Amino acid sequence: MRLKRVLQLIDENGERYLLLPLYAMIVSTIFLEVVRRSVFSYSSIWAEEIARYAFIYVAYIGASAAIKERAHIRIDLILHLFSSRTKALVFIFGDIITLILAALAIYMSMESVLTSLHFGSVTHGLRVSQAWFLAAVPLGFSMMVFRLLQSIKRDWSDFRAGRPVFEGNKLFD
Amino acid sequence: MYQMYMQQQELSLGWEFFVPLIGMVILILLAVRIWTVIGLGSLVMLYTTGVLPPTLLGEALFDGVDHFALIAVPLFILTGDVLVRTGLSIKLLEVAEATMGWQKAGLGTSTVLGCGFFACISGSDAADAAAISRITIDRLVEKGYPKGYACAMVAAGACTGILIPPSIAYIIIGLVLGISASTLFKAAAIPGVMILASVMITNTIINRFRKYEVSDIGFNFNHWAKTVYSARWALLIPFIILGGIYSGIFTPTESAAVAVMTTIIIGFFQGTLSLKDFPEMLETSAKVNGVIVPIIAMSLPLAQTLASLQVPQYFVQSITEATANPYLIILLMLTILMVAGCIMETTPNIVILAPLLLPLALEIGMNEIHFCIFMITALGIGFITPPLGLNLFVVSGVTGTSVLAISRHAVYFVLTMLVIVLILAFVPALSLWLI
Repeated sequence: MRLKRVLQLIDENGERYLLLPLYAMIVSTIFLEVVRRSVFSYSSIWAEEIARYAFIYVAYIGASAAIKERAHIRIDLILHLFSSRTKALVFIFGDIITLILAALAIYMSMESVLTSLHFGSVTHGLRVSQAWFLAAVPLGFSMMVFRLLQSIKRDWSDFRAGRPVFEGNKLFD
Repeated sequence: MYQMYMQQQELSLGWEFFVPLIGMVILILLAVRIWTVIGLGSLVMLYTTGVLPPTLLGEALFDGVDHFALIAVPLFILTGDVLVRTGLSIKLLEVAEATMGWQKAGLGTSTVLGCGFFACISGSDAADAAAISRITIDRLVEKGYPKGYACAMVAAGACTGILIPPSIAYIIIGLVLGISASTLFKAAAIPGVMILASVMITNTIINRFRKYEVSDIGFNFNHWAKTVYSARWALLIPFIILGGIYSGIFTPTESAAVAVMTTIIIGFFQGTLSLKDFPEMLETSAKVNGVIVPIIAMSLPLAQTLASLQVPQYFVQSITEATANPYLIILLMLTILMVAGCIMETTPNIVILAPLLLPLALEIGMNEIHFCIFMITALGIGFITPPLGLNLFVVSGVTGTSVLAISRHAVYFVLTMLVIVLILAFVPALSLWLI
């Protein structure tokens, strides 16, 4: 039961927990860099790197959160024409297409991670293995795959039971 | 440079271009996520045409968005959100009201000015529309405005969210075309204020005919000074952002980080912000960013493929063959942008259309910065154009008024904004004076 509770917490808040330290990293490194440059006339080559790489993690984790809320932009003209049941099918179709692309994206981005590991490339500023940062893309898309499977399962059972389909939360409510 | 390409070479595009293109159109109509369609489209086109290696897509997912300038996007959304949560946005509206409340259409004009103030902090029009409409619509209705009209006015004023710097749209178009965001922010100042003024003037004129409100408050300097003083912390934020960028102390990204930090510190000092608020605020900003970034990442390989296939040149050639009149071509571009603005969100429009239309603009002697201003302002009208204007939907979502009822009143604002866009298109000095 304990495990189930933990999994439930991750499902509800997984993206949020990951975002907090990443945002903190972006804002504080850039802020400190500005202070350092203006007060001590000194700037580092690694601060910008931290912010940039944390941003890529934020971006793809955010994309996963947006899938959970069905917030990604789509042209939904056609949806207005359909009944709720048909809508569910349209959503499932879209999710499957996205799933295919996400799988391809994981495959293609893993290739760059493996190449980087193979050649041992490091970043310019931090001199840390580039693979740590390149991994943001396959990680983000894996999270998206997970959210997509959840969404397909939910829509399918809604379709079967004839319940109104989840149409997503608004980005700005 | 473009003339060199143009030396009457026979350009031809075959099935390897049109089949993926038609596939993309079908998927878009079937309500598939835009970034998915663009991504699959680029991948298939890379395979069928063979002009570039398909691994391009995998690289673009990282390299394409690995830009310091892009970090400003989530941060400028976050500043807006923190501002709303700390209640500082209400202070900004109070200043707006003390400044413009003496006018005949006082409350309306002040509300629009409030949209403009908020636009100096947030980089997103939808955030602007949500924040301002939540506070002001009820008061406007109380004062005598019909609800649909009040909603339309706020939606129109909120267009300045991306037209007045800082602006996510200018950051993205700068990234796509390789122009610094600071330069674009400088260029956008006059056009942004012109749009804001046009919304105010439209409201004043309509008010004169329909007599929605007659303000009887005179201008009281003591009251104004008191309001400004009590809003000093809220006013500090736009001062940091715009002052920092325009004086060259900060890059836009740095100014965003400093503004976020300052707003959070002010919020903690005033006790209006607590640690509990953070997860939700961060998730909102990350979600908006997570919607934008995949579109950029997936569009870059598509844009490169199109460039390798010489599609932009093909496009320019077929249009200049039909007409060489620059006025007609500007009108044509305006039509394309407005239609695109009505049916799709800004980000995909910018990444797909900017590389396609820029050669055409250069061909008729437009400066590239002038083109950026023209393009973003024209797309901005799309936010309040029915049937799919984003701002209309946001305001409708907040207030519960139907989109149809708002659109009916939005027409006036669309028309005056259109006039401003035409003026901007034909008078380059307005966009180029400040840079």
